[in-house]
Amino acid sequence: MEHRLLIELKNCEGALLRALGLVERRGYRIRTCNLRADEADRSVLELTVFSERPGALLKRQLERLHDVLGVRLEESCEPWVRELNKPSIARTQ
Amino acid sequence: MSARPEAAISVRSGAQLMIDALLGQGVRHVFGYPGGAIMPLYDALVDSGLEHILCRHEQGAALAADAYGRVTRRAGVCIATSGPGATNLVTGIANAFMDSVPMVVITGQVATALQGTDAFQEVDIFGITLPVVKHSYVVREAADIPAIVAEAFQLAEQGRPGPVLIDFPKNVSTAMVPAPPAPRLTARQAPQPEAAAIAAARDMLAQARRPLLLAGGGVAIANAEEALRRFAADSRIPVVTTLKGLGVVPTDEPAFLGMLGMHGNAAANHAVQNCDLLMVVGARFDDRATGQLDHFAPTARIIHVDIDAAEISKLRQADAGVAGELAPALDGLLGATEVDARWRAQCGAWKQEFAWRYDAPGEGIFAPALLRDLSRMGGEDMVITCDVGQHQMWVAQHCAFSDPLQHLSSGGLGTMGFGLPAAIGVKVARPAARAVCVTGDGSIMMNIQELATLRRYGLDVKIVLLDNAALGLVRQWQELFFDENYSEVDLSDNPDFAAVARAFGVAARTISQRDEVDSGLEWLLGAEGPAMLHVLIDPRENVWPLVPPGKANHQMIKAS
Repeated sequence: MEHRLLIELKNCEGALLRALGLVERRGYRIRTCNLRADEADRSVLELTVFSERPGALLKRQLERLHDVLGVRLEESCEPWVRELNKPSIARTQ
Repeated sequence: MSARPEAAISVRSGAQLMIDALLGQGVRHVFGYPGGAIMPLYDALVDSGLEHILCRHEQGAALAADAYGRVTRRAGVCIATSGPGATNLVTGIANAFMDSVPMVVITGQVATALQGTDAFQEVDIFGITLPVVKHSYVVREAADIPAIVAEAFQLAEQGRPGPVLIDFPKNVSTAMVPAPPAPRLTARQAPQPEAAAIAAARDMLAQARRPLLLAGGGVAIANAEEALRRFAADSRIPVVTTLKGLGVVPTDEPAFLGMLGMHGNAAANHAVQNCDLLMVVGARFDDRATGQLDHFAPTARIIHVDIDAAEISKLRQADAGVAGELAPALDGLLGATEVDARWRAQCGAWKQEFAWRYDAPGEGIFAPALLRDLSRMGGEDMVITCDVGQHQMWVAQHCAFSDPLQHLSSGGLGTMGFGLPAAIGVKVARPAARAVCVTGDGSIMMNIQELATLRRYGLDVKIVLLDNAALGLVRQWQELFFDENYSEVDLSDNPDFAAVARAFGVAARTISQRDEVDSGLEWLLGAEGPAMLHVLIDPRENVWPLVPPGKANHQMIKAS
């Protein structure tokens, strides 16, 4: 199953490696990856991943990371680019 | 506090700021080993007020800090230099990560200008440890140290605890900067369980006829034992625990059925397989606990209560997931159910049917009986730290605990070599505790150098070394599942462990016959200072029962 995620990261050392590493270690294969540093202190990482495991589980695991400000999970096939113009993604519990 | 006059002036080195920050967090003890890149920190350590415990290997320091964190519920601190010092910490960091233990790790690093040049003793410890830390930092500016340290302790200790690494380049530790103001951190609100989730769980409890409570190590981490005991007493639901959950209800509590899982009590496993509701609190469906997951608790609906939302439905779909602080969640479930007396009676019957037996034939020492006796003689202030192997499972099965902090075991990582450094951490944190390390002849050799640490600090740690001249648990699996094709498990050329202990300045005695057990344990527990009881046991002894690999928990096998 393919999952699409928008991950808002702090621009701090290791944030990107930490997020990408977690995705792969938790059993999700990265198919596409795009990073945009929208502001000085944050970036938005856009991923398409493939796994038999649920996307919601990966979302919760990413949300545990201190560098991650928010995660949006989309299972639909809508274009992603418009999402990048949205304001900050709130961290969800 | 500091004997150094410059401590009073406002310009501080990075190393001094690090020491200041640790003291500011209330740190009293640190475990470590010095070396090149961390030397400025060790220079600032002298007369700082911090007590440094010099372990004889960085892994020992990390595992001691792990145990210190477990029993204090505050971050244990360990320190090592760059390169091999840092990589030697990794097992201890991973151990803390897997068991959700608060720890702050400080590693020296080569100077910033040398990073990325393959400099002497340079490794990317930040990168190496990314999968096994809760968070990590590289200190780039000395002025950032107070804020980094404050945040590191907050992250390590709050929510689901874990290790946090601070990599400290040498040029940053020697840089002189105006002392920055004390950091102000926003207090992190502990996540509270949602009312809707509590309501859903209450409904399920009300409907259940055969409910069972499974308590894990998260209960003790959350300091929620009292809430759990309140809930268990109120609901009268039978209780089983994971390895790390042992002690959250007293072993002698009538409703307690034992540890579940691969080497669990058959009563606990039968209860899990027959319950219609399993309420899991602070546990994570580890494969050693569940056996074949598809057949685990096959007739049960699941309530999963955990502070970490990412654990809920990770392996087993929860019918009700309650994410948040455990104590308020448990209190919110009081009065939700009254257990059917027939179910309680059935659980009681299983408990009686599968009670441990100690009538092993022969004159040799039967390790389960020895550990039962140790537990009885050790008393309420005994803390047992285990290594990993057969002896670890025997401790879990045959020792009684009234508090989860009486039993420290490497649960998630299964680290041979944990026991002795862990006992050091316990004794430093709680000098009044009776710290007993139960180890095996394989495990003790993993960190035997820490006998020198016992002697150096006069730490009154007692060691029970169960010596079967083999890697017993591996040998057992080779016997049962690999057609007795024994491969690299023979340790019959072990050294004379009692002589080794005495060479380190630790008193030691060897016993091999059953009628020596009482006097041996009395000698050990009464000895002045650190001591080892070296116990020779039958290499053919196995741990029973056992759930074979790939089988469900009710398919456990017993001694033939």
